Amino acid sequence: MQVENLHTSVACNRCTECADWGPNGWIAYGACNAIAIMDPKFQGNSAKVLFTLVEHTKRVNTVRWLDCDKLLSGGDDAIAILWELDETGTTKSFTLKGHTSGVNTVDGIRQQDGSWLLATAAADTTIKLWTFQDNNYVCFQTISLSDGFCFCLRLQLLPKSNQVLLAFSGDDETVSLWSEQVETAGEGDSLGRQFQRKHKLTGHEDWVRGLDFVVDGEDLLLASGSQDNFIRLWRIAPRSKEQMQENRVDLHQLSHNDDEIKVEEKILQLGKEAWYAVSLESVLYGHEGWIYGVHWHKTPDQELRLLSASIDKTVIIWAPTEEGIWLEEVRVGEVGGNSVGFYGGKFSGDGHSIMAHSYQGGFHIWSQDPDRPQLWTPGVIVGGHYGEVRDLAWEHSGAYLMTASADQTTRLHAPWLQDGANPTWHELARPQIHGYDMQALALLSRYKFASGAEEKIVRTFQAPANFIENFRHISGIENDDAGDVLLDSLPKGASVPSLGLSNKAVYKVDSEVESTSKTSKDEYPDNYFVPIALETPPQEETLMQNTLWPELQKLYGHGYEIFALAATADGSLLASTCKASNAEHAQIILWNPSNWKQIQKLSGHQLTVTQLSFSPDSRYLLSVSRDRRWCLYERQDSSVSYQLVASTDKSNGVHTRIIWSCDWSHDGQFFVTSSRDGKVVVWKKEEDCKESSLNGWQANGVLELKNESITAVAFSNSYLSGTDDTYILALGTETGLIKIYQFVRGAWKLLSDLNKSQAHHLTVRRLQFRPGKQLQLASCGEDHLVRIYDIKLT
Amino acid sequence: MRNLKLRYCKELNAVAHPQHLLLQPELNGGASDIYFVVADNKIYAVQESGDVRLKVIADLPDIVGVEFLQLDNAICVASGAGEVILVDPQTGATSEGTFCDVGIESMAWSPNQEVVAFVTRTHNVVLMTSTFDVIAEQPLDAELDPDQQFVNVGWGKKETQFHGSEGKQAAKQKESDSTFIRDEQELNQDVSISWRGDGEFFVVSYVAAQLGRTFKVYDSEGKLNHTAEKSANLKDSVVWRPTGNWIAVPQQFPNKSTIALFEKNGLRHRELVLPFDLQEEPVVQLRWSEDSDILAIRTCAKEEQRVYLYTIGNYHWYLKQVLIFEQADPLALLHWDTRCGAEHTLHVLKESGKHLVYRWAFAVDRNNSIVGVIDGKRLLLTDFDEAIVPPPMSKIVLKFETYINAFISHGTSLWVYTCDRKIYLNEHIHTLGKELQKPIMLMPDAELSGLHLANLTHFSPHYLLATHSSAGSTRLLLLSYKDNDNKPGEWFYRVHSSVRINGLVNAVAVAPYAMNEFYVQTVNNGHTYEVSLKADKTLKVERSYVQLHEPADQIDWVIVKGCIWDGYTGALVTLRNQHLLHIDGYRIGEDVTSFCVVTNYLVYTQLNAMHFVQLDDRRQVASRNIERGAKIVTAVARKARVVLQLPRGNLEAICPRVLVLELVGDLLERGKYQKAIEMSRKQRINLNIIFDHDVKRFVSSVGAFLNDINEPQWLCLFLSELQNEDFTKGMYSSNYDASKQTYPSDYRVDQKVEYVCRLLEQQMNRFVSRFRLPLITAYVKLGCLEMALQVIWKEQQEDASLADQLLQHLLYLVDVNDLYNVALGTYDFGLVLFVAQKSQKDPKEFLPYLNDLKALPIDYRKFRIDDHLKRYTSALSHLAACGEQHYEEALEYIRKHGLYTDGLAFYREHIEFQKNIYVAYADHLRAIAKLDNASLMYERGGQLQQALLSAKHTLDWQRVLVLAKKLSEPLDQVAQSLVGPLQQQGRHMEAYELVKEHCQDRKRQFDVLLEGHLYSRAIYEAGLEDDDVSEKIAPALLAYGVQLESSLQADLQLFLDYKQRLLDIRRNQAKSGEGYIDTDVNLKEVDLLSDTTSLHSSQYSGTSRRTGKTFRSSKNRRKHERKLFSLKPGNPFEDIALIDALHNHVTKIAQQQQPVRDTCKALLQLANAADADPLAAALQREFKTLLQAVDAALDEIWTPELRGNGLMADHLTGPNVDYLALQKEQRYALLSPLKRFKPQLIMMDWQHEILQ
Repeated sequence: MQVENLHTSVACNRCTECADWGPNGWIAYGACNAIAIMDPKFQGNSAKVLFTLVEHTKRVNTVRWLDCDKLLSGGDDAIAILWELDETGTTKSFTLKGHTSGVNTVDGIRQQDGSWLLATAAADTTIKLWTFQDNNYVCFQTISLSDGFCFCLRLQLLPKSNQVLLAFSGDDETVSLWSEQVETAGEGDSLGRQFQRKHKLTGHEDWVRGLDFVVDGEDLLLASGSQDNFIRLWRIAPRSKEQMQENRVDLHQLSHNDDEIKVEEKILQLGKEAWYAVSLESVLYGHEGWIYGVHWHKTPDQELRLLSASIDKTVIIWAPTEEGIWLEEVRVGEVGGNSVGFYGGKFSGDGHSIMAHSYQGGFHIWSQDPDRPQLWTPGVIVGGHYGEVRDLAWEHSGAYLMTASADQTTRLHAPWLQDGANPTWHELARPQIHGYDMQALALLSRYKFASGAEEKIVRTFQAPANFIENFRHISGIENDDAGDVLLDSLPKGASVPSLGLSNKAVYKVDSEVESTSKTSKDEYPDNYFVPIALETPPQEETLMQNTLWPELQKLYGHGYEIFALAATADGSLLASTCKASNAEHAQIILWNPSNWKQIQKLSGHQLTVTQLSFSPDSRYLLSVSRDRRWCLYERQDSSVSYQLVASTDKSNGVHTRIIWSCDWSHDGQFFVTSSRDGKVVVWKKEEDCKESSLNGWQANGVLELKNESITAVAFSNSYLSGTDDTYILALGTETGLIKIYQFVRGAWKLLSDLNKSQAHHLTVRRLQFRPGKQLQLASCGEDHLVRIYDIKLT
Repeated sequence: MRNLKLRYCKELNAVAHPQHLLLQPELNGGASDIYFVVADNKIYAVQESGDVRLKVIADLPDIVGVEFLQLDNAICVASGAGEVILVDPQTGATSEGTFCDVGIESMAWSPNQEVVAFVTRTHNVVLMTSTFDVIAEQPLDAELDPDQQFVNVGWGKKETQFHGSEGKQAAKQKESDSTFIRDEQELNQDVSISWRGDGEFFVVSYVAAQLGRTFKVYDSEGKLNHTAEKSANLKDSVVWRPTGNWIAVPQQFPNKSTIALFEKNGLRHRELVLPFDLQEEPVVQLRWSEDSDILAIRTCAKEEQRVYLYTIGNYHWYLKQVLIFEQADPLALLHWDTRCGAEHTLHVLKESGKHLVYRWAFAVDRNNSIVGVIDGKRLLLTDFDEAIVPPPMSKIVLKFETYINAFISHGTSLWVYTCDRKIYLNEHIHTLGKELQKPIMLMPDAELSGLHLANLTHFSPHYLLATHSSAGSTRLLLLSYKDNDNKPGEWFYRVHSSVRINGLVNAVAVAPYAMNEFYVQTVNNGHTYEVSLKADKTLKVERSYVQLHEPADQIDWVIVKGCIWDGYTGALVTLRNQHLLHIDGYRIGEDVTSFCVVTNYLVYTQLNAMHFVQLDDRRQVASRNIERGAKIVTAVARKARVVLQLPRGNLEAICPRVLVLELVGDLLERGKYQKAIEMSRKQRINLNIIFDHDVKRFVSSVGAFLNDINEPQWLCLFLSELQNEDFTKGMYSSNYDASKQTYPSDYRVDQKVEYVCRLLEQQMNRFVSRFRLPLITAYVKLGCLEMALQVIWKEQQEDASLADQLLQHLLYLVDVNDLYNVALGTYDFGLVLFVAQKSQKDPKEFLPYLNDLKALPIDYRKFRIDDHLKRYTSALSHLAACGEQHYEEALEYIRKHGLYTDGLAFYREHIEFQKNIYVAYADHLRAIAKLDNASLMYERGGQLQQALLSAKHTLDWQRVLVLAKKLSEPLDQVAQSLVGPLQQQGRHMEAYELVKEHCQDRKRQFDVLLEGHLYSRAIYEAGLEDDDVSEKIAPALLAYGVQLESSLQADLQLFLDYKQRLLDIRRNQAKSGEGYIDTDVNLKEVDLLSDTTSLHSSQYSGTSRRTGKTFRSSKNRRKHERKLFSLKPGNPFEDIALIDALHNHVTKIAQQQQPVRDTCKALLQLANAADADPLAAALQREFKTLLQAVDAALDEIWTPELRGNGLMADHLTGPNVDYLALQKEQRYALLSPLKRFKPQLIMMDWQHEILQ
């Protein structure tokens, strides 16, 4: 059995320096505790997360490409990891242990002798310098910053020298320059090397959050971006001994001699016979907010470009004029939306594309138009949730996947069908951007869904016309009768009013003429929805404000936060449960989606119902709960009301801990339950037996995985090909693993076992097979990841 | 922090074996001195003063309760047999109230005497109205309704609760009922009733079966509200605190004796632990004082009887007084005075019939900053100079063997007077907190051991003062102590000398520095006496010092500052509780709750305010709000601290600004500037006061000031806080006398900042190294940023890092961009670079600019910089220095910025170029229509033609001719061209000069003269030339004479018309009497009134006038004036208009004198013309008539009231406003002031004698 990852969606962590664009064209970024490697040019115009690297145990704070195949990362787990990669993933990794607190920034440089010099700075107020050679690493110096922090550091080989210059910025608003001792005593012995502070660059009036070096002719240019909204460029130029001696500028004689006025230079001796002059080259002002990231690029004809990303939601490319004054050449950014700004930005290797990652973890990519160099167009990218993903649901025919997350959004992932290429998956809409963490999700029909957040109401939504149009276009949907019916009657889009909390439908879109008339009222319009006809999957800023679905109805009834939702296959019934500590609140409420009335309250459980599942024919409703029991409700003939027909009790329930998940087989013959004690039980109705509470349902097969907590379980939608009694089941565990089993007449057989890099590295929250012919599985987990696998049976 | 201070204790004689005491409440202000005592089944009336006259007014066996009914003026008596009768106190007549056949156990009237509660012998509780109608009756042992019984709300089982020091095993103990089983028959079966102060509830204490002593709470409807919580060993006394929160009952525990305090609901709330054992010393009586402040506990031990007085503060019970009575003469009863103002008076009646009246007052015992509190056997002392220790804690605790009744702390000595009348003397308490030496114990001598001393006061190191009252007089005692001759080591104190004063002395105050004088005050008449100590140590009453309306409760002698050395004067501060505060009888404030003297100020509090009164002039200088009800404990002058105690007992220390300023001022006087600044900063005092406190002194000791302040940062603060304002007259005027503030001659308050900064800058410049930062601050304050920069720049040459720091400091004060400009203004690129590198300026921008500048020659560079900085004059001076090649630019620059005069000055050396400037200047002048100046400038600039044209325009014909000459133009022609314009301007003489000079045509010459009516000149010219005068001149002259004559006649007529009309109008107004009202009626329709002039009569208010026109524009206003001054008859302001016209007319007439004279003279010269002489004579006559008419009429027209003199103003603003005059005044105000006075006619001698 082969399992291939079709789609991985995850956001970048909320850290500066958390994404880097490697020389191999790949973007590496920290995604929860993993590092995601994304190919932004997948199949030419698409993008895809190729694989994830899992070794950190806490949040990844920073990643940096050292080379085409070397990646250095640092995380909150106080370690830095040097990864060696190839096309398929990691080949080797070396863990740099030594820090006692989260590693915030890393850098590395290859020295002339082929060894690597690595530097890591951590929240334990130290910077550690390492050498790495022949798969061995040694920490040869620890720089203590007493009680300060290092925000950013860079290593750079000095021009015309083998000396390494270390620049780092601290919370004292300065940039420190360190280099190796000039003494020759320990030369050749890497352990004898010691860095020493040479100079402090002062001038910034707030923390410096971004640093970058570039070689400009014989000189070095250092850019520093600071929270005082200024970027400073510092020139480090080599000086000969004579120059050094002549250099002394007497400010007091400046007006009287004929020399050119220059900025004061500070002469540093960085090598035995090497002197360098440090001076302030320029001060760049253009951002209106803190500057977080700066990055140099050198065009093939040696022209310099500087990229700066700021919290003011803009990214600027600076270029020098002929007079040497730096002016902004391009300014791109986010427009509108409820976002904060950018945490970092990078040039691609060729300088024709730029990337920025934002506060909410979304990526932006802009590429230079080859014909019109001044035109930078946004490109397709993969984003994802930046909080744990708690529920997912496939559209009933498998056309798209919807996910709900603790980052207070629901997102809709759909394939982008292009001629002559494999479909790639992208986020197509963000139907709900909420004020509470999302918890559960149930699809009622293709264009209608219900969601529950950490609030007491269930909200239901319906797609707007604009979505249907774009969805059909991008995912190549045909024969969409449901959509046709809706298209005319539906609103165009939705928006959240400035002082409102719910998505409001927008029917009529203001014409251009009206919108151009600027009045004070227009500054805070009631809606800012703009219909967009998409050719490609939408960009982050479109997703943030123009893909909302209007809210249909709020369902009031539960006394505590909503916990689980389920709907029948035909969408004619919706069941919901909430957090509960007694039988009264643990009742399941059944709703009628046609008039949004409560139909029935089903009691049976004592504690929170963790998951619900309707049998494919809607005859049964199965619920599993914290009280370690499941209940089965059956619909009486010719009525809509359900009745409790079976449940486990202390004597006959196989599970001894909380039951996390349940699912029905596609034929309705079996259902499966999984629990924290590692047991997965398949139940089958054997014979009518009124005595027991089980009412004839018997455990047909029990699988027990020791020391595992099975948090998700799912039946596939058909028998294993070629059989009529072999079922395929997927299990997800609390450690993030996914296992695929076949189940034949009470016997379990492991078909495939996905490791953490392939699956998840934190609890799997939900698994579901894609409806339709192909065997595809979607999973989501607390590690912010949403993944879709294609399973091929061999 | 208060103690009970015994004011007096007087002894009276009453009836033996008293049972009840009845005091008559105050009637009509005066308290009756008759009170009633129940003894031996009789009611006696006792006269308090004078001879003791006992009168039996009623006789009834077994009296169980009496009450004086105020409304009925009757005494209600209840007997055990059940009789309740009313007795008239005057006549003794009785009437029956009610009767209870089972007998009465106890009776109690509610405090408002509307309801009375009885307990019958059968233990029924009966509640009646004041007319003895039964409200309710029920048995004492009735159970509570089930819904009113205690409900356990379930705070858990006893086993699970925390039991404190009893430990965990306490949880398992069963509550033993053993104490309850005791035979209740053994207990005292008395039933007692006590009402709450508001009369809503009362409590009945009785012995219940099974339970023993318990109590029940009933409301004023007679309904049982609550029963007591189960408590063992309650005693029989019960008393409800008048404010209502506690019911006090003595309770015995195995380990302690307490007064248990119960709440209204019968639940035990807290307790007061007694220092004795109830078994040995049972409580006989409990009494709350009427204001609930003091709880008196009377006990009866075997050998003696005692009365304990407790007060509460911060939930701590302080035992303040213990009175000990011998068993030989046992006490019969205790009774707190119920009368208003005497709440702290305790009546103690003894079995023997002795009646003792103790009067206490709350007072804070303070010795400067040390305050002591009596708590039983402990004396709690706190020095508030060192720390604020919240009560009931204290800095140190002194323990004594017996209860303390009073203590005196003075200087370093401490005298403690205990309940057994011993005095403990400790002479060295200045080392508070350290180990104190054992005090000397002074025994009373035989005489004193029987006296209860009041008003113990320290007098001089070895003497104490005390008072002792008996009957109506008081002995002032001077106490001294000495070694016992018989028993060495034993000390005793005795009366050294004494003096008797008629009346009860209730307060003593000693003058602290006098040593031989003190003041006492008597209750009876509010007199204060000065008593002095003679050389032979005898006391003598010198004189009556101050007479107050009411006796004060507290008196204090204070020294008025500054007077100590020259014979000192003092003042007596007196305060009657909650009432008036006086200094020497001069009333300072009302509703004063406490006071204290600190340095030169008297501080006193009202309910929620604190006031400061300066002692020298009794001026209230400051007030501030304080928390409600706070009273002063003490004040510490050295720390500027006032300690207040709030009603609950907690302390609050504040540093009032007045005292802080006093301290700061004192520090400044002593030249301790550093300390003064530190204190000002700490107490948020504006540092301006450092200078303003005494400007002259500051100026003269500025060197000392700088020397004293060791931290330059303080100087910077001082400088940056300076304001052009005298704070001793503004914010801090409380401590300063504005009239005493003097300034140096060259100082002005509105230039204070500059003055101080200059002053300090001069001084600091001598020690630049020390005062770099303040120097920079001073320069910034002065606006000399350049100087500030230069200081740093100088430093930069020696110590770059220091210079960086200084620049950093400067940047705190000034914006970096301003500083950059200033640096640029020095033309020193080094300095510019130095500053620019500290800014956020881009080197890529400023470096090219600086390099561009540097490439220029120095002068031109400076020009460019100055131009950049908009210093145009300076720029031009530098441009001038650049010389020739920049002439064009300079000219353009001069034109652009209008720098002509500067340009002329700067280019003084460049003569040729200067001309260009002159021309430019002239162009400019011509453009702004200054043609005469333009002409001059053109001339200087060599543009003669233009100069000529300009001169021509101004008709400056001399210049025109001169210029024409220079230009060699034909002079005559030029001159001719000027004649016409000159004539048009009326400058006939000048025109004639020109014509005469440049035109040979004599006819034309004469024409010019005649046209200008210059006949005399014409005659002269003609005479010279022998021309025929008559032919050429006479006709014109005669014609003119005739014309003049008719004009004079017309003038006269006009004048007379105006005058007549004016007089008519006035007469009409006068005739109609209320003439103004008539005219005013029309005013409504007249929209002539200006909005700006006020013409409001009593009948019209301005608002009723129509709106619309505001006459704001000058054109409108003039039009309006014209309308207002219209001479059209009937115009309501016609008289005003006439006066205006007359004034103009008269002035014009007066100016006619010279023309008339000249004309007459010319006419006379025409001797040959026949009609000339008569014409001249007629002219003269006409004019004379005119002048006489005018002169005669002047006073008629300009009446005195028109002038609106000062007299008028008086009744316009005075209390009796003459509205008519006011109206007139307002009308006349429409005239310009000049025209309200009659025109001054300047008369010249214009008449020709020959024509008369």
